[in-house]
Amino acid sequence: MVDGGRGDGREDLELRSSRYELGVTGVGNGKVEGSVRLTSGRTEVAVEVKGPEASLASVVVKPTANRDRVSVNVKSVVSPVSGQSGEREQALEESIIKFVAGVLDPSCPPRTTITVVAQILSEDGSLLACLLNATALALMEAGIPLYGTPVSVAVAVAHSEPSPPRLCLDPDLAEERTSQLVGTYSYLFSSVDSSESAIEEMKANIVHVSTLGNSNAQTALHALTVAEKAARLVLRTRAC
Amino acid sequence: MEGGRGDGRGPLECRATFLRTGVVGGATGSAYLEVGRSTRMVVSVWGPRQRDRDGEGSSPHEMQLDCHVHLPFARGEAEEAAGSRGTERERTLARQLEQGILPSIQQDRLKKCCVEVQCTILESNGSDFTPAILCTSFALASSNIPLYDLMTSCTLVVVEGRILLDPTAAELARSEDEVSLAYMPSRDQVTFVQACGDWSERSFKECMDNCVDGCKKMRAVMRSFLVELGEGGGRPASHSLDYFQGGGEVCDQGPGAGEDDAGEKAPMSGGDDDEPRREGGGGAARFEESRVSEKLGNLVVADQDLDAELDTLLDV
Amino acid sequence: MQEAEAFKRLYPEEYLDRFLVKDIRPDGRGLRSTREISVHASPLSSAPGSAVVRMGNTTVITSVELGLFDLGEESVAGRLEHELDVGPLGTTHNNGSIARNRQQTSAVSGRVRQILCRSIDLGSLKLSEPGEEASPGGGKAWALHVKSVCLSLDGCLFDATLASAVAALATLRFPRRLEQLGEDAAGEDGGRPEGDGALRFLWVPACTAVALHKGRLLVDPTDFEESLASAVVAVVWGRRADSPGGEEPEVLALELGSEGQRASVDAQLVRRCLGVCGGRGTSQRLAALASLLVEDIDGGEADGMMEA
Repeated sequence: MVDGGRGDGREDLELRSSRYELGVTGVGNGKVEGSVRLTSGRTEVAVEVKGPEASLASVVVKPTANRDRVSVNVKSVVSPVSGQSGEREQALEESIIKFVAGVLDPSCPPRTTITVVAQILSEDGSLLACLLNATALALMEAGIPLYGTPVSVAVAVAHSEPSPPRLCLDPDLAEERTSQLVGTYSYLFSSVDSSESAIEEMKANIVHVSTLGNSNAQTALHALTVAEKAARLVLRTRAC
Repeated sequence: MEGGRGDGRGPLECRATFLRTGVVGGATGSAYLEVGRSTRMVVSVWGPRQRDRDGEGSSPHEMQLDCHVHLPFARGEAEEAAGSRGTERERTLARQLEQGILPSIQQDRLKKCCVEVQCTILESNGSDFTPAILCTSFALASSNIPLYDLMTSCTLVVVEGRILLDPTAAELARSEDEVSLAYMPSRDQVTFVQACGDWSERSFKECMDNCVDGCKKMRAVMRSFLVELGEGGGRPASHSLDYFQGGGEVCDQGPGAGEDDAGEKAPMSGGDDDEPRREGGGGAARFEESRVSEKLGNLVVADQDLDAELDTLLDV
Repeated sequence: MQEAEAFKRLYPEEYLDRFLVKDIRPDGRGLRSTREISVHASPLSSAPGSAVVRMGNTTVITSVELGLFDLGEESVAGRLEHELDVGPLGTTHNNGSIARNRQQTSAVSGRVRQILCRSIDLGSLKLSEPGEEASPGGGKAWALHVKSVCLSLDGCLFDATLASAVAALATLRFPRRLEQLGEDAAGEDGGRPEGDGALRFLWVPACTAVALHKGRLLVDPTDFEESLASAVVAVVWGRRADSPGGEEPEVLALELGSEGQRASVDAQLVRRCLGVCGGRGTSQRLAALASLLVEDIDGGEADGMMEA
């Protein structure tokens, strides 16, 4: 990151322009309930969601005594731009599974399976945030009950002593490589009461965080608050 | 080869063996074995559980023993295509292990059950089969699975005309003939023999007898470890890996470790349910039985005297 | 004892609650105490570097193998690859799902690799050639193949795997100069010829996990506690390898997963988590691993056991 401006001329806290299309996959297959193609800058992903379908008898989900717990089995497949899926794709699959398990509403039919299939079409930074956003949109399109509206953002922090660390939102690949800390944060926004409330008053629940890079505890927390504000902003732009 | 073997043993001397249970938390039974300083393995036993529906060929009412062998640090085999059941070496050893151990289990008491044995070989210097049998038998003994007897095993090789027990990998590579046995000492039964070589110049029976003697020695070693387990103590052998200490018997997790904001020391009362203590207790209970039965043996003899006395009394 | 076991299986939440109400956990620890960690260096005599780490009932053994590769024109650094093998335990924990097992171990293994690559100086893996003024690119460098095997699992697989990999790398010895390779079968047999180098660490990482259960924070959860938790936060702390100690450790990585329906996690809670897990337990772990490094640099035999 160049001092002063970012590579593509954005402000520090400016997100890339993102677009998404729903219902991309035709219903010819009959099984795909929700599908989304999300583009954010030059990162593009396509996600399809199948389900909830009946679990196979061989898949046993551990029965839980707690009635509030969701007992849905989530499967996920992530395909890279080219080549075979490797360790990185499996780590992304794991993140998606945990994310989906975290945002499902307890009213989801129990002992069912939801399958998320993601294809990375092009990559330019903030990949996990895009994948999680696309997954959330696909789940909503499929009509699967969620416990709120999930929004994910990516943050990058660059240290350059002695000036304070510099936070940037929605980094692209070059910025990710040069920054010390890169993190993806997912929030679940829900209304405090049942009536429609303004977006500023919605409760933000952290569902997923994964950061890599050294920082002191303060910077980590600061990134967290900035990410929350950014997520609210994304929600607002989506609403209008 | 004149003189002694590389490590100073006699030709019919086995390497020092160390055994410990309670190594894998959560397993029904587990054991850790160390031979010399260069063979180390961990065996865990899971079950008895419900049998898989698709048993291979055997009757659905019988017990099924599922052995899996794992050699994670095997060198030079990374390029070999590992099927879903492991490399060739792992598969062969799993089959041999199953054949060798099965006769020691009381199968009619475990109908329609499946017992799973997972063997992880960290390092192996010499025959793989012998330490695997010893460790598996020890793990089964500590897991309350009904057994007829401990299974012991020994390997014998002939190197340049000399008979050597418990060979190292180097001796194995130089050997001309090789015999591996699995033997149940208290029943005096050999349950598994694997031999390769040319027996025209020496007596196969002599080699087998030497091997059986080696097995009897191993049995004494195993029993001594089990008896100590029953007594609740653990004699740390001089070359034991200390990190496995405290696994089976007393739980070493004192409240001194780590921070305790409340400032109170959590008492380790019997009400707390902790896995290793329970497992060690199970193993201990089982071997209390065996020692008791030894003592019972003495009592039975005494009873016979009593009977004789009673007879004389009644005759009066 | 069997009634307690049955109760635990039928009503796991109530079982745990009864302990937490009294501010202790089922294994007798306080809510904020970590399990004792024991590190044993070089248990495998045939591997160039190895270590076993035991945290309560979780045991992970790691071995490091060396390989050589030719550097391209631009790159100057060595490589590090990590593989995790949960073996038989994975199927037991994942209800027999092999794909799920592979995903989880890949995720853990990938994170360990990322943290290790940031913690060591990969440039120190380049072999220096005879007759100095080696060209900046080209030449040979070491590739480290780190393989971890989990022998028993009771929660916190990532913590134990990371600690075990760090300890194994700390005990690693390899020749630094190209001309030493010919002398002693690349020194891979565990021999330690003169001039052997140790790996240079930039950071000493250690991870501590915190589980959230009904508003209570449980540090270093066991498998039972993890399965009931509504959120798990794993923080990797790092201390600079060349610092004398006493500095505040920094956060190297943070991972949080929560079930939105059951837990409400906000920045405040994350701050509490960071405060709680940066406490004595983590500093003990960091100290245990750092002492392993220092001992090696002094050239002492790293065969002792360190308790923390």
